[in-house]
Amino acid sequence: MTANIARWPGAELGSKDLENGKVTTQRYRPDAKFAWSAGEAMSRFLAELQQGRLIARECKNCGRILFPPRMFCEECFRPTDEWVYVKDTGTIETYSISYLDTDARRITEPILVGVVSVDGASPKMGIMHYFGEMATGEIRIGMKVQAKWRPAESRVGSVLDIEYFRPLHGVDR
Amino acid sequence: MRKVAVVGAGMTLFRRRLQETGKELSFEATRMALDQAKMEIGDVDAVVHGTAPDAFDGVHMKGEYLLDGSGGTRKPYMRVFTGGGTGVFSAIAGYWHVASGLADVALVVNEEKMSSCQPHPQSVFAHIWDPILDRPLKPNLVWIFAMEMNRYMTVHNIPYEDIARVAVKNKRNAVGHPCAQLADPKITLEDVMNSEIMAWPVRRLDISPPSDGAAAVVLASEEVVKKRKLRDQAAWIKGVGWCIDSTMWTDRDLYFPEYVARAAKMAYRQAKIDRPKQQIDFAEPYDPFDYKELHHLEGLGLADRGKAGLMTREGVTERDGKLPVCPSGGLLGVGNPIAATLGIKIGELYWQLTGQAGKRQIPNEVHTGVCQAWGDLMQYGSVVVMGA
Amino acid sequence: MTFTERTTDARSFRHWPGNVEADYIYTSGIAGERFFRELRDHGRLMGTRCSECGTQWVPPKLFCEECFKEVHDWVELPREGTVGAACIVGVALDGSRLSAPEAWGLVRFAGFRGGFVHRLLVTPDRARAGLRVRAVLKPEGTRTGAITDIRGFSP
Repeated sequence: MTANIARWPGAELGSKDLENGKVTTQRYRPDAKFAWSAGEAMSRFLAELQQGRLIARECKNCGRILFPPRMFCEECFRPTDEWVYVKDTGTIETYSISYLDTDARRITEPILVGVVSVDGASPKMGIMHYFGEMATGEIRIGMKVQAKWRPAESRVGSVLDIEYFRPLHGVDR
Repeated sequence: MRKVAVVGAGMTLFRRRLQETGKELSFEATRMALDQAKMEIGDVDAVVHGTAPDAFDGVHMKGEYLLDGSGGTRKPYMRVFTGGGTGVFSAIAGYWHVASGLADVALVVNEEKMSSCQPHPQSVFAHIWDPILDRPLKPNLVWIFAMEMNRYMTVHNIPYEDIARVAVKNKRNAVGHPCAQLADPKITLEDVMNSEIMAWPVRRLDISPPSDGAAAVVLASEEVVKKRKLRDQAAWIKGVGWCIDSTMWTDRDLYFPEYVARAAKMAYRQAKIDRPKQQIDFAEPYDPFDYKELHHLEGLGLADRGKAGLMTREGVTERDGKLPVCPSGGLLGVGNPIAATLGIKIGELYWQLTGQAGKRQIPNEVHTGVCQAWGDLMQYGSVVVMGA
Repeated sequence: MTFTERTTDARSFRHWPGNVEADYIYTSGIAGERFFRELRDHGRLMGTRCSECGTQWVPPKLFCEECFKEVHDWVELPREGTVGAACIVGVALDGSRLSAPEAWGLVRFAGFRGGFVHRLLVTPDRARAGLRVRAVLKPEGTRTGAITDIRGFSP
């Protein structure tokens, strides 16, 4: 196969070689700023989050309650029809216990994160969020959880208006 | 449609950091593929370049940037990008150039230089998420794989050691691959199972590394194969398929890769395969994480749902097993320069089917292989079936 | 067909601000490394010559874009180049007005394919195609192995 890889054996560099001047390099840090428009569905979703509520859209054609809400049904490929409030309780569909931050740096206090399908939406319809008030040994798929909202005055219209989802005691299956 | 063969392949060293520029890596891989096909750049009618997000190399309009190193100057040229699925999809795009009759010879070149991105390519992965729903949570890419792996393990009750075995097998298989970054003849199951937890259930050795590298293949029509007497070194593309599932990933059950199953169905129909378990001799499914090999074997119909781990435990997927899987060493052993995994997937099928795999040659005779790549937000599958 | 329900109050639309953070270190590559070392250490501008088709490339390449062969031969550029095209820049990268307009141009060298896009060290009224120019380098010892080791090109 790649027999002639011998012709180009490749010049491997170590992790420090880019910084210590072993080879010539250029450093560049782009500065790209954005304002992402939330659009029709997400603007309403964010406004409702600020009020401490979760909202979905219903497609009357397939009967699904779509959450997160969108103005079109990607299955029927037609506009959705109505706004429907859903509950702030749900079920952990899957999760991870992360020892990595955004930049893949190690952290000692793990982040509990996963997907919550919300009650009142169609099955499996959910969002990604953090989990809290549970130990790493307690969290499991199928656990019933409820949103822990930030105080009304500190909510800004963001998914972070929910601090995390916590165990819904008493109704755990 | 016309018959299309792979008649040459090349790939560079895969490493965490290489001094070569992306253009230079593309040239090296392409030159090796042309040399193997006994062709010059003038013999090439069209060029397809596959490469992942611009943010890795840190060059906007990467397709144009890499053009000169890919031999595309003043030719019909296009860049394709379907996330990690590009590793196999670019060859599908090359295939349709030749199958349609628009080109007699097409070159497919894939490149990635992830080391440019500081401190770690993970940083720019953050920008693939929905800016309103997901990014405020400061997600790490490993999270979604951890969530998918957890769902898969939990639904089927798969023990972690059955998943970790895949990493052991592939890192051992990579011994004998001249380009391999993480070949390890001595690695044990305990090494993987005791490696650092990154995002539970994913541990460090469950993950393939980011890499720099390039790979290329030359595709030719049946007429070209005959005229240039390349039959002995030709492997034929029998079927191609691709499919993408909804981007609303938090609305899908992640335990089964429906997108791979549909892509495989499309490829199998064209290849006239109705019993994949009996008709396919070996496979190169996409394995950036060890559980993904199992997940994808099930999507490809080569294992029953939830049973791919058992096949691994029983040795079925070893190089000398009944269904060798990732005889190249896969992404886990050879490395993961996203699009350039072309060399591990299409490239390995080519070398195995033409008996050129050297130390990695599957001892049993193989006539039909399938390779697959996967990408985007756990939603994209590209599948190619090849035969000797 | 359109959405059955639309927001009529545009003020209720929301935005989510953010930036795309990224940080890069680019290697010069195999051919680029030799080019920048020659420039930094010896103050020389070098190109490569394809032994197959004879095309000479600047900046140098490891491979020939024309015949797609590996390139091994290194040649020094002539001392003088010619401005192929010029422009006068009045606006900075961030959109602000420059205090004084700058002249920029594409500098080519006889017998070589390619060239440098660089600053022309002349008043804007003199920046025009056909002007014969020479590279002005930063003093030895202050050069870092970058294209900015060339301060610009002057007549």
